[in-house]
Amino acid sequence: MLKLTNISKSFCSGHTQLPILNNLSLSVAKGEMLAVMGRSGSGKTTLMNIAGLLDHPDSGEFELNGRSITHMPDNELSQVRNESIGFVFQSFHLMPRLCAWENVAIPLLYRGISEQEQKRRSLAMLAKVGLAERAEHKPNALSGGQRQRVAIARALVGEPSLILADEPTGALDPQVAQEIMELFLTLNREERITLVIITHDPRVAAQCHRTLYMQSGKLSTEPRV
Amino acid sequence: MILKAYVREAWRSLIATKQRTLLALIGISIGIGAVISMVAIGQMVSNEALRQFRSLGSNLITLSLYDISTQQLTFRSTRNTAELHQRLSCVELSAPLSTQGVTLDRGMNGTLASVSSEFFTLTKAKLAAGRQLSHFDGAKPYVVIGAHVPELLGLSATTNALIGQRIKVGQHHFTVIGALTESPDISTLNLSINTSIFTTLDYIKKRDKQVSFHHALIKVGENFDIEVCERQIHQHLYILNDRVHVNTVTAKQLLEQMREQTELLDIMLAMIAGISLLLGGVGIMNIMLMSVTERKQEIGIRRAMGAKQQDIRSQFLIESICLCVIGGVMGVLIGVGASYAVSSFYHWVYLMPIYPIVLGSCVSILTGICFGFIPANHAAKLDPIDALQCD
Repeated sequence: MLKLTNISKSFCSGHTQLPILNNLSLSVAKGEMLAVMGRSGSGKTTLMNIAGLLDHPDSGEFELNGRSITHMPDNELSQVRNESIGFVFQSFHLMPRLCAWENVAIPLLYRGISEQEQKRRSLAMLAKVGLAERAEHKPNALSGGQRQRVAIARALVGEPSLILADEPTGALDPQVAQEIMELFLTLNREERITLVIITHDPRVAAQCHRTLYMQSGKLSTEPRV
Repeated sequence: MILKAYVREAWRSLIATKQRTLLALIGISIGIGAVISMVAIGQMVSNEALRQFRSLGSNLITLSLYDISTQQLTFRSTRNTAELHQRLSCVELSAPLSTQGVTLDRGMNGTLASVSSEFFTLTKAKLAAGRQLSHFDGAKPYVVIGAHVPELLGLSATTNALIGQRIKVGQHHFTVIGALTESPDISTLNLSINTSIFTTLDYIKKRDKQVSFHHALIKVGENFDIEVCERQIHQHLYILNDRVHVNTVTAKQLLEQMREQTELLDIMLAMIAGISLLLGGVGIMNIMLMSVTERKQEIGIRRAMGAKQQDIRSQFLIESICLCVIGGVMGVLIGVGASYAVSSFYHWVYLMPIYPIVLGSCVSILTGICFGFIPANHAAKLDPIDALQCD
């Protein structure tokens, strides 16, 4: 479903080119739950940005749902993001002025559907993540775990084919983190949602179907010691 | 739908920074206010001029004499001006008059005017009761009073009951024979008909040897050019008496005077409008750039959720327009208030036509678009990753 082939990306730092991704290839099947682990600075976030169409690789091919998106213009990339990809961030990234359901509705806003429909779908999604009665609360009235649930509902509301989660449990205490993981597992099991979770928590990785390790710009199945 | 959401968003974000928003709006509201009052004042001036035209007619010349020697000359001049319509074919009617300020019983100020009966014909002053002065009244102490005179004299009787009453004006004792309805002022003579007491020329000539008849109202015949006639009058009076300085004012000149009077105000307002709209616009741009910087992360999130560059641009442009519309509303209030102040200062009829308000609103929206475009474009062009990672 998601297929990255020979992706390379380097950053300029002063005069030197710092390679972050080096001929990286990755393939994720539909319904799969994949964990990507790695040390800080190993390029996990860059990978996620590229997979989430927020960043352009220097070279390599990118396919999503059998569609090549390597050379898509910005407008179409936005549309693909809107329809096919859901993001979950470590620090939630909710908008403080909007209440829970309005935050959830953001992806729908850019599809030009009616406000009643936006609200209906957002509320249904909040109910699914167990926050039905908090729909009118602002983020600052919610706990960390609740905020991440709102963010997950936001990622899911557009019915994307792929969810990218960057350290989704990184800012939560272990018990709440486990609740979030269970939510992911349930969604994956019941809705066949494809998940790529970037983490450095082995307990998170252990619950996924497959774990890949980021090392010197490439992904490998075994952690190098 | 998306527009409604943007407007709501913009409103929330502006409310969240109330103080800053209000400060940013000062410039733009003064600018819009100046635009509105400029147009409204122009309208009021034209209306005022039109009123003068209507009340006096465009074919009226006001003549003033400034004598540089003895009273006898002035007296002769009176006859000369009174006879103008017999001497010059272009003059249809000529009504000499004299005015003097008088203190009435209760310390109020009024004007005692001595006029010929033609005066009422020329000024179209209408009677509310009684009769007009006539040639046959001669030097009898009869007066016709303006609409506000009973009030000034402290008489509370009805208009009809005033007729026949005796009143004291300065050292004169008069009998009221007529009362006028409300009439507009004659600004070329600086004469308020409403607060004047009118008596005959002969009465004043007999009682007050010192009196001088400075003024005359002259009606130009319908088929004659008013400016040509004006020149003929000057020539005619100069031949008769070269020691009297003659000054004439036509309705057209009056209009020009009024225009001149407000021209400076117009230029000032246009400058204020221009400068404050520019500064206000820069203020708007500044606040929008701040808003974009502060909400970088929000922009990143929205981009990640699938917002196109155009969506981000529209959102910030709408916010800037909302800001300017609020400024526009404040500006309309300022403009309406300022026009009212100016109208009462000059004693004009207050007018607030709708189109300067529409114009002001359009200008405010335009300012929002012009000065909001750069910040909005800046927001749209942000790299989503940079925006997301900014905290």
